[in-house]
Amino acid sequence: MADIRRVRIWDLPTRLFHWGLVILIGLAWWSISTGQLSLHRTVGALAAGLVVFRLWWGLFGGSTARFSDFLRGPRTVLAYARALLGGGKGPVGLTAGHNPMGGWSVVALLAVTGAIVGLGLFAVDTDGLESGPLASLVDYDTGRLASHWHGLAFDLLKILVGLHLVAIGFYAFIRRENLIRAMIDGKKPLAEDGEALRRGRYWALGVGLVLGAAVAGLLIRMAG
Amino acid sequence: MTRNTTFRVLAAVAVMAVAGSALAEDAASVEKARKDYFHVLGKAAKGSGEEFKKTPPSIAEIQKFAAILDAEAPKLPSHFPAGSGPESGVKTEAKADIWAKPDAFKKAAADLATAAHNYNLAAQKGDLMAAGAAMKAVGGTCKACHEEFKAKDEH
Repeated sequence: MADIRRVRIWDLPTRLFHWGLVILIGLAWWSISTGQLSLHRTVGALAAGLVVFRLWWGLFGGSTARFSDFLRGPRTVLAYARALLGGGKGPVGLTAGHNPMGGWSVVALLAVTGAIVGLGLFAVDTDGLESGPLASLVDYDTGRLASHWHGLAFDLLKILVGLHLVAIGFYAFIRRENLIRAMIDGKKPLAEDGEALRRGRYWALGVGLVLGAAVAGLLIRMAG
Repeated sequence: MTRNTTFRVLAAVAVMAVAGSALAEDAASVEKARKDYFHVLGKAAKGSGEEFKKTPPSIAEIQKFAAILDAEAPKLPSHFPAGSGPESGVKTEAKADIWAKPDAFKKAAADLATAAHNYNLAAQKGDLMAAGAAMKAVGGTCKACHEEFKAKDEH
């Protein structure tokens, strides 16, 4: 085990995105449950900005954040699942970035979050009084439908987040891998010859931040 | 059969058909009409809110929506005949309390009618500020009544 050390695998933008989204999902849930529609719209706008940033970072970001790095075919996913469940205990992960199953869970979480945010833009409440920033583009009935699907998609997100937590628990207790710590400090124990993070370029980070901030800012303005 | 008799038979059949269809107006059709009715209110509220957000709002548009709300609001209680609640078996967001607390429900409906009338008065005067405040009051009556008498939409 001497040649095992903690290597950086997640860049700061990816980690900030992750924890930012965790906070926003919590805030969105709390604000809608307590009838704070203004806050709910602001949170949604910020989440839209985060999703846009993450899509950009998935194309031009650090190596482990890129979709091309972690989207694998069904055969690889199945093989990984079999290896995972068939033993192979130990602290060393098989991959520096997302594993073949985790990669698809990222895509699913991102897609459902994007759908929730997108539907929320057009959602209208039952009284026709509260609505998303783009709801004036659709009629009342379409807005109600968007609201309905907005809620259903959130149910789906809760299931996906539940699976996400179960998976983290599985890695923690069965495989003795601390994924939460890795998402906080960005490091994971890897064999020294393991492939580590190649960071994204600063210009790509700058463009992504501007894109995300522009989307969030525009939606906040429109909701105001 | 004489022509006269034929006419009488046809007339009788027609009368029975009308009576039959009246009987068929069950809880389901009440629910359908109720939903359609609230859609009219919802559309006018949505239209109002969006118009007030525009710079500048069109007073003509606001007058249109205010007139709809003023005309429609007093009809609200007629959409809640006895037997059209959840006990009818029809899927409805109307709570049983509507009929269990008829006075409170009547008061809530009257509050809406009053608020909608005030909104229309302000709008027809062309007073945007007063109309905006009056529309907010209309929204308040929607929410207050829904809080007590409308089951939460699953979504």
